[in-house]
Amino acid sequence: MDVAPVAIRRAACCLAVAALGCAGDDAASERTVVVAFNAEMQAFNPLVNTDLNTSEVINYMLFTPLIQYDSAFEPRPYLASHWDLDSTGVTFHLHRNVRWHDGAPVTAHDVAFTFERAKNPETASVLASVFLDRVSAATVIDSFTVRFEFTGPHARPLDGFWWPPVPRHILEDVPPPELVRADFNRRPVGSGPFLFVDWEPGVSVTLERVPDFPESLGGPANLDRVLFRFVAEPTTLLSETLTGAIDVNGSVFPHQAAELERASGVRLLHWPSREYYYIGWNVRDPTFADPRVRRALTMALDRRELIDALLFEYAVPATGAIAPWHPMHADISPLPHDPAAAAAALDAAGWRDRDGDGVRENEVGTPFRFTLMTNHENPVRTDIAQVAQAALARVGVQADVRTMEWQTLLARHRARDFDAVVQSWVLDNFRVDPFSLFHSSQAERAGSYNRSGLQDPRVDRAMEAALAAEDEETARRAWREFSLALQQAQPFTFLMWLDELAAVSDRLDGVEMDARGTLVGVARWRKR
Amino acid sequence: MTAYIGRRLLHAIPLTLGILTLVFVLVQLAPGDPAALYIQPNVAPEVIEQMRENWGLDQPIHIQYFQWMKSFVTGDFGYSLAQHRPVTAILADRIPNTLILSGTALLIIFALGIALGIIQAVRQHSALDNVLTFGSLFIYSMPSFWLALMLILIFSSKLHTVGWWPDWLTFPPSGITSSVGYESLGFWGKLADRLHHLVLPSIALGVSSAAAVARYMRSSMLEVIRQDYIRTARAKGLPERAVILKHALKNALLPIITLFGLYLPFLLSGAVLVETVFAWPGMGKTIVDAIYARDYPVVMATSFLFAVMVVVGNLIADVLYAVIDPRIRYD
Repeated sequence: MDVAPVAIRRAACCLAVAALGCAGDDAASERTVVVAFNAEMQAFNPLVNTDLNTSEVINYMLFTPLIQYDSAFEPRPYLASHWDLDSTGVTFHLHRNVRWHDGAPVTAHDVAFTFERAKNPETASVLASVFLDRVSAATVIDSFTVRFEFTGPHARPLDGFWWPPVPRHILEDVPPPELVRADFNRRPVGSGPFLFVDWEPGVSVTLERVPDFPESLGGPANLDRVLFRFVAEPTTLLSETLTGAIDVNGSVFPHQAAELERASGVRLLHWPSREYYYIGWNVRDPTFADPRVRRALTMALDRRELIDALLFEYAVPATGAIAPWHPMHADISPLPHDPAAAAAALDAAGWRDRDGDGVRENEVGTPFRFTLMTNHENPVRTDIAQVAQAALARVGVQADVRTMEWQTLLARHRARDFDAVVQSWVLDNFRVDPFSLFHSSQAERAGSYNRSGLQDPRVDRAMEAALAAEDEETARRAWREFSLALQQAQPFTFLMWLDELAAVSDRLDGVEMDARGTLVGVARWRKR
Repeated sequence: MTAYIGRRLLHAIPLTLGILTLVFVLVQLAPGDPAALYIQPNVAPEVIEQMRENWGLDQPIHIQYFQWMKSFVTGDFGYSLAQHRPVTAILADRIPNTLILSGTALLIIFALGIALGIIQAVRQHSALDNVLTFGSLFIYSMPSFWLALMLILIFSSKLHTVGWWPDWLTFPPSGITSSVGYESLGFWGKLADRLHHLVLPSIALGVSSAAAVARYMRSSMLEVIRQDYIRTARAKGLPERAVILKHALKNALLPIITLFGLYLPFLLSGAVLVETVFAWPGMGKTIVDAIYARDYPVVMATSFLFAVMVVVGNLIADVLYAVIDPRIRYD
């Protein structure tokens, strides 16, 4: 039973007793699950949406992607019942009994239409660059069979197909540049286990279960209704969670974990996320040009201490850019926390304290001093910057911390106008493709993500080999070599992979969450 | 008077246009752009460029300015880049919410402030006066967002766990209505639910200003009741109640009316924090989100409305002056 609504109804009764009496019963609240996040949804259209929570709703509730992932991050059939895979392409055979929520069948034409819209540059769709950069064409073979051609062989080609089709019969009249503002995005017609009911802007989104959702895709959901609420302030959200007005709080911060663990009626879930924190060094800057220096800066930091003190142990130390839970992750030993070795390496690189002021200088007397930027909206990042500042001071390196607003930071980072920056990176899918981050061809390309400007032939070679590998074993070996090469190059000081946390009411059973997302199992949640 | 109001409204036109131009320039000067909202791993730079082009952000700045001014003057506020819907639709959603919240807060500020001020002036130097003085200074020195968090902590989190505390005196910490079950309530039930949700935000927004108004009211009242005409009123045997509420109050209110005009912008900016804390979907939260997202059309439209509200608020204050003080003439 929901506690807050009852309290409110009692209040309502006090005022309403003479007029109408209290008509509301608890039936609605028994069947509805309230899930809260700290930010609003963006667009329920996989072609134009770029928000991660929204994309979970798209993939797990409203729409039906061609494939889904199992808990080991291996692709499993979903909209596609099976597929024929060869080195030049893949043919998907779709289930014939999946319907759009307006009744029309989901067909290969919808899949091909979605592919074409995504590939059309005028759409400015992120699907194209996120998933489809290695897919060149789509052909409809019959109404429920579609074939995609690859630009070349690669080890995990199915990773490019974790996206759902959109209904062609509704969206084909919308010109591609207008898709971003189509009414559809706020009133979608989907094909998944939940259908769209209502979006009250800034307040809530309501979805309802589809009673005849096909058994071949897991059957109908257990819950009748899911109501998403948006509450920006963490303390307010925590308060709503503790009083039981919210069933699932999907935006729990590490510092709130202890209070939630003490509370009754609520349990805390945590799982490895897709986000890591790093300190990015500007490799173009002569100060950071030498990889020995960058490794020394990493060794000066105690990542364990950062995790324990700032994230309450809800993180693991990072060794590189491939998530620890990913099948392609290589278990390499991290650079140690070793201030003595860091000092020795800085000595060897020519940075010595020549004038006895506690700060190292190079041969021409320039002190080892730089600005470490971060944004102030995220207190953990500011704290990381300050802890790093103290640790670096102990090895004779002076970091001046400068915090700024997020967009300002981003603009300077993008323009390569920085010395060093505390930032985080979030994976939006399960492909391993660090090309845009670390390949030398991206180093000086305007707007690209290799903002550190790394140009390292060993990293390039390993990455190219891994991306071109035709089987998983070769790919895994190449990614291992990549991880080792990247660790030596150390364009970033990889700090930690964060855990994600959620608070779940004891009224809910069957709730499992992992790196696939908060909502991965929502169709199997059950309310007591 | 009508001529005066008309003249003031005419003056307001260049003023708001000037404010708008200033806001446009400031927003454009701030680093960052709306497309940054969509930057995430693996989004190719060309995709970002195409987004900017689809939104018309690739146009030169003066072209953007004139296009925007032109559509603005014709009543088209444009299209939100972050929310993907017309700005007018956003404003239609949000303005009533903000008016409800700041209207209630305004009521608390002046009703409570004036009442307390009168009581304190009449009972000057009594224990009650001292307690109220202490209390109002205590509350006045709290920032509204902190007060908001404390109210949530006490009235929705902690008291919730106290067994004997009546349920209807714990208050929901967020939203305008209950998220579940609101639809099944009758009219009075809905109204009660809304009022219940309004309690904490309006107190957080209004109570510290009410404390300030009480201070002003106290001193203004004290000054008035020492004047000769009050002594005359008492001497001719009027009951104390009539002396204070009929003769003294009207004159004592004059400085308070100035405050009305001053508090309006203050309320709107206070609403920015309070709306965020209480997840109240009003204009304040909208403008903050829009600024962070560099959602230019929404920033411009909300700034415009804030400017209009402030201008109108000051006009109302000036008109009220004339109503209350016969010495003031605007001809």
